[in-house]
Amino acid sequence: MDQYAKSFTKPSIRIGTITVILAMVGSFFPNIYLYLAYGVWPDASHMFSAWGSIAMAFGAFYLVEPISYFPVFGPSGTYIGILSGNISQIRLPAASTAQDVLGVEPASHKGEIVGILAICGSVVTNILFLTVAVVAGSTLLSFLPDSVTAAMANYILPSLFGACFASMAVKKLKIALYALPIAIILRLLGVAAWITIVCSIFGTILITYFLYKKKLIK
Amino acid sequence: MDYLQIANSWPVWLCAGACVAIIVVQAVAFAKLCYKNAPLVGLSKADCTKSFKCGMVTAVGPSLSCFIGAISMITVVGGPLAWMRLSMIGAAATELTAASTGAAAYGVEMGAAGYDITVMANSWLTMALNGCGWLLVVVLLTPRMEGLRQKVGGGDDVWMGLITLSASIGLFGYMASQYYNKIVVDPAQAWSCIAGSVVMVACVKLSKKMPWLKEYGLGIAIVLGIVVGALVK
Repeated sequence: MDQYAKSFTKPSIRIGTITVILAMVGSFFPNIYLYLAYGVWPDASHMFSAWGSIAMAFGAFYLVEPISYFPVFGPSGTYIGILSGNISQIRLPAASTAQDVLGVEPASHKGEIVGILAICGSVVTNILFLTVAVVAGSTLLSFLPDSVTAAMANYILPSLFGACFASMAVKKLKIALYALPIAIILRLLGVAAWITIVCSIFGTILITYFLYKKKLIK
Repeated sequence: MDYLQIANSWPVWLCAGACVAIIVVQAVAFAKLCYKNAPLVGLSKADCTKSFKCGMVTAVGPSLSCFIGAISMITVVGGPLAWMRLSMIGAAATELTAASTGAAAYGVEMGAAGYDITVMANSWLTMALNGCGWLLVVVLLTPRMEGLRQKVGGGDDVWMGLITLSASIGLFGYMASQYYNKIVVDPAQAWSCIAGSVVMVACVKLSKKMPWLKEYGLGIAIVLGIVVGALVK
């Protein structure tokens, strides 16, 4: 095992595993409190029926998301990206902007460290915003005209994803030429979201592989 | 007793605070690990700090959209739960779906008559169980996937780079396509997405002459994208 794997990858798997397990336990604190203070715990039949239906709705994503983001993020990024959430919306833009600014290759060791640091920074910003939102959000929003809040609610995500796609696409325009049509066509066909996301990511990797082997892309 | 009164009581804030703290601790632990290993890969302390700050700045724009999501959630599940659930995994839409599924199991709608503390407990539990689905997969699979990636990459650095880039382009193609495809149903969102793309390309081109643009390109693209969306509307 090389030095990097020993002093970075291994400890990051340890940190990731411990903190994610802690977060799983922590998720149940509010329910434990309700039980201790008020003796309230949903009975098994209702609990399992709700759990069953939510797992039906999102179960595929439990598996698909961590696996799909892994090639982008590497191990440490996956732990922190999945735990803090908002991956495509906040974490990835943060990581790739920092990699561009520092001028490092995303898939290199340097790129990984720069990316993770940017993600850590984005977690700080995100939690600050959230904390302000839950403490004083409604008061703050009432100062803004409705047209502004409506525009933010409707157009932040479209312009963000449009911009992120473009900033990635210009790095290798050829890849974008088949990556985007895959997503557009599968969506038009109404294919299930989790299948579309798998095909968009791994389908693109697969096509790149063939083109790379044929030396059409480098 | 009103369920929202319990949901907003201080012990619940305390429970939520513990969860938020775990996420902060994780970020700090990873950041420290990065600083420690920076010399090994040839990065200076200043590079590290620059990366961290860059992440903080880039997150401002996207965090604004979470801000609005958070406020829609507070009114339904209370401040503390919105705080802890949104600082983890899911977006507001996912969490609210889980919360209403928990209520639906009792045949009650969120916040409607009959939404008492027991139903609320089930809403909370469903959000927690749903979130744990992702976390469990991450704990079990991540250590194994690194080995797989090395095998697929086969030590070829160019190909490893192409895997990451293909995955990123595919992912954002998937995300952006939902708005491009709305060109007929909701042209304002589609044009806002197109504007975001165009402005970003311009920023990337210009940043070769003006390096500072690299850091703010995304912010500029978001602002102009919102303006275009609002104008088309």
